[in-house]
Amino acid sequence: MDKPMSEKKQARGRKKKEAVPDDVVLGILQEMGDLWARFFQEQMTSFGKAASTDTANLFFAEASKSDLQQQWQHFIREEINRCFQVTPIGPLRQYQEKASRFIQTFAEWENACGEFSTLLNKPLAQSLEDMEEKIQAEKQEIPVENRFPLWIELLENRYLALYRSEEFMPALHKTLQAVTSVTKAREGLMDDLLKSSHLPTTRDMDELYREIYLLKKRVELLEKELKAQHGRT
Amino acid sequence: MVGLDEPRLRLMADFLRQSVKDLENLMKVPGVLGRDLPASIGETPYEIVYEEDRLRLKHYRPVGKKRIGTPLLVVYALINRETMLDLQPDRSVIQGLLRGGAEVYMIDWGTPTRKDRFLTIDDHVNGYMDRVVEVIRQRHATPQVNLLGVCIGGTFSIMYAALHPDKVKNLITSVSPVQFDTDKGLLHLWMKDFDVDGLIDAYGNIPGDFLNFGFLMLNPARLVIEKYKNFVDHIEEMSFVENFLRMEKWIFDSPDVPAETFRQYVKDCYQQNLLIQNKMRLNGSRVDLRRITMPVLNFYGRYDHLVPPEACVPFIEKIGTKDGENVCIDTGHIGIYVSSKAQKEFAPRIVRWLMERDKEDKRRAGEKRRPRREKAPSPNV
Repeated sequence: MDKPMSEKKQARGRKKKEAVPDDVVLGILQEMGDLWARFFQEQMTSFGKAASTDTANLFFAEASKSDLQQQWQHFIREEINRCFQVTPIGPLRQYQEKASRFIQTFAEWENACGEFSTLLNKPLAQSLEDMEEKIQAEKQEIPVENRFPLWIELLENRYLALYRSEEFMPALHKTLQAVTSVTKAREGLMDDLLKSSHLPTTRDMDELYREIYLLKKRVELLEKELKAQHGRT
Repeated sequence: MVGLDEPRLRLMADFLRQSVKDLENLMKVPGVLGRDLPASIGETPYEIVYEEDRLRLKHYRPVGKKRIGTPLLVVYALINRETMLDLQPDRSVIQGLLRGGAEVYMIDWGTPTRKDRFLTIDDHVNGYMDRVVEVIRQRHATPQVNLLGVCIGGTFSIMYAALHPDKVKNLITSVSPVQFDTDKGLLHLWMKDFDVDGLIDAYGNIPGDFLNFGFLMLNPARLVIEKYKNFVDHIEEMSFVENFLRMEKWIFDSPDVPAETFRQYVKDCYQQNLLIQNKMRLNGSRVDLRRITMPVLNFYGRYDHLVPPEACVPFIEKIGTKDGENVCIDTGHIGIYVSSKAQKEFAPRIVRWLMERDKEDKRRAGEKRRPRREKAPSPNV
């Protein structure tokens, strides 16, 4: 009778059967590495593309603030957003849609805020130029203690002019719209998170608050009617 | 030295001296702010006599003899807090009124939460305000109260007086907008095409921080730069520092504004200017300014950048009484209550005016009691 194989031998046998040859593992790793390298290279190329448009050579060099901002926004819009603009499919598509919406609105918000802050910074630069002109125009030197109040006055005037200009209102509205859009998109994501945790969403709570509000009004009305009826009887 | 004449050198020396001084002051800021500074506000003693939801009704007793017969209800705005009227003992409208012998009640609107987002202007005016007036009427067994409205609180008081004229004896409004169709104030300009629905959809109640940012943006040169430079310049004057901290504490303590109230205020007032045209409706009832038949005293600030004089002054022309008066104070929107100059004008003027109205009432009551004598016929007839 053959002796039963010892447990050690059995285990060795299994290991031999299940073992994956090293060259296969290496092959998979190689493939993954290549894939990553290709992806990385593609991204770098596209980044390069963004940086090699007409004005892009200024990106790291002599770019003015607005150029730099435009390039940054271009990069976000064309390169980063593109990764998320994949048509959603499958059972999780609605979540993907919401995530994409948030990223898109976030980019729009960033864009609008950038433009708005550039606009708000304009009077600072303009007032300093005004100040320089004023100093040069004055026959006598303006004493140091008078310079700050003078600059504040010039700056105040510049801001007033900006706020009453035609370019300000559209920028303000665009920024506010971007702020509300990104807030709503964020809320959409939060709602999913809250629902998955079995917690009421803001919308659920609002419905509840509305019902309480209307009920209170109704009770108040009924109380008044009741008082009036008692008064009559 | 080449190219630098004596005046220029002197100027450079001045500039350096100033810079060193500024730097020295700036370095003192952390040390000063690190101390335990007295910056408490709203210190005048009061008792809470009524509470409802988030609202509290504060009652202040007059100092000394009561000289004004009818209790005075102060209706503060929904933006920032009512403590502004009682910032510190020597800058307190409340104390000014109490010293004048007035019995003062003041509405503290509290801090609205998400639960309050459906509250409308009608809920504030015909709901909370009316119930508060009822409480005061019962406590003093009086048919009427005197109303003092501040900013939007003044606009609410105007609506209340128009809808319940029988319950208001005298109406005092301060920096309260009524004519919204003006381009003098930036707020009026910005609100014209403001997408209030979008903002409310996103936020619910309007966040106090959002409003604060808007107010700062109105004049960044003064409110963001000059103000803090002044603070650094006066860092060694403790009374200045304490006053500054009190104002900071008050100005950035901004409760959210209930969504539906804000929506209605922007749409009906700023965008359609309904109030001054007698077209505004609260829960179906039309607010007709001609129904304001009680005496009216209307304060406004000459340099008010939030509610410009153009938004306040026309109110008096639209009311149904000849006993209406505009009073201009040479200050801004907040200065009317907190500047040391206005302390001598605002509260004392109110006290004087109310006392005059009381005297007038007594004279009329006396006339009614006395039997009328037939006038002797004129010798010419």
